[in-house]
Amino acid sequence: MRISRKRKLVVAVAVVVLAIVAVGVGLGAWSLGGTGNGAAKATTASSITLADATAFTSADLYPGATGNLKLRATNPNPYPVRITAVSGNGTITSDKGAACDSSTGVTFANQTGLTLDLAAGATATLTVPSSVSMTNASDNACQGAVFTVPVSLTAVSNA
Amino acid sequence: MSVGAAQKVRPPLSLRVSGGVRGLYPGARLRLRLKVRNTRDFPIRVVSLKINVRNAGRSCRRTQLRIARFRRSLVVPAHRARRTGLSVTMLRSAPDACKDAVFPLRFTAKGRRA
Repeated sequence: MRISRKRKLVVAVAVVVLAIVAVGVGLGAWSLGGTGNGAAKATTASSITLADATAFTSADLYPGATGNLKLRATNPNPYPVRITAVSGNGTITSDKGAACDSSTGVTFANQTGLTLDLAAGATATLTVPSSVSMTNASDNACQGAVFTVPVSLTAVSNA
Repeated sequence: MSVGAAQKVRPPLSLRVSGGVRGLYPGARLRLRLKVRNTRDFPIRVVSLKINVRNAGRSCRRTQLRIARFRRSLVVPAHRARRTGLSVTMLRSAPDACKDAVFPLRFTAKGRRA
């Protein structure tokens, strides 16, 4: 069978067109790559600052009673924190001098499971309820005293 | 007589990605700022951008970070750079070992001629 010259030309053109299309598709599908390096840096954590940790006898405490502990705390971190535990961390003293200090009769019960929230950079007075007790061992000189309770705090990010 | 040898030349990377984030803390959700530079003579559409996070230390694993997927349409003009960002979160459960930690990041970008 003879193939006409015109038909050969058509086939040749078709092949060329198909080839061009294939190359075009190939170029269009080429993917381009790239890489790079970086880092994600965590901030450091600053300790909560305690300005004051006091229990007020005038309002809360008397022999046989249990009262609240007031904490004046500052969060220097750029994120909110939650104080979850407060633990006694030393000898409880008073503003009434040696007579009271020798026998305050005041004790602090360690607290856990707390949800005392402090905003980022904030200072606030927080109450730890029913954590300070006074016994009959408290000296008379302790009447009207303000007791300072050394404590350490455990806090976590509350972001 | 000298003999020439055909060397396989590695083509230059078309996209260069850089960036990072600072100030992570437990529960933080911050923006990972990225800069994508096109080194070619034609615009490139970024079709994927993957981020591989490595451990910051033995006790501060990469699983403490979550980085959102890149889902944007980003076209970088020829020989120019474009900025983009992804949300990065540090888990609230991140241990103390992650304080001041540095997580190395490796970026891999893929693109097509726009």
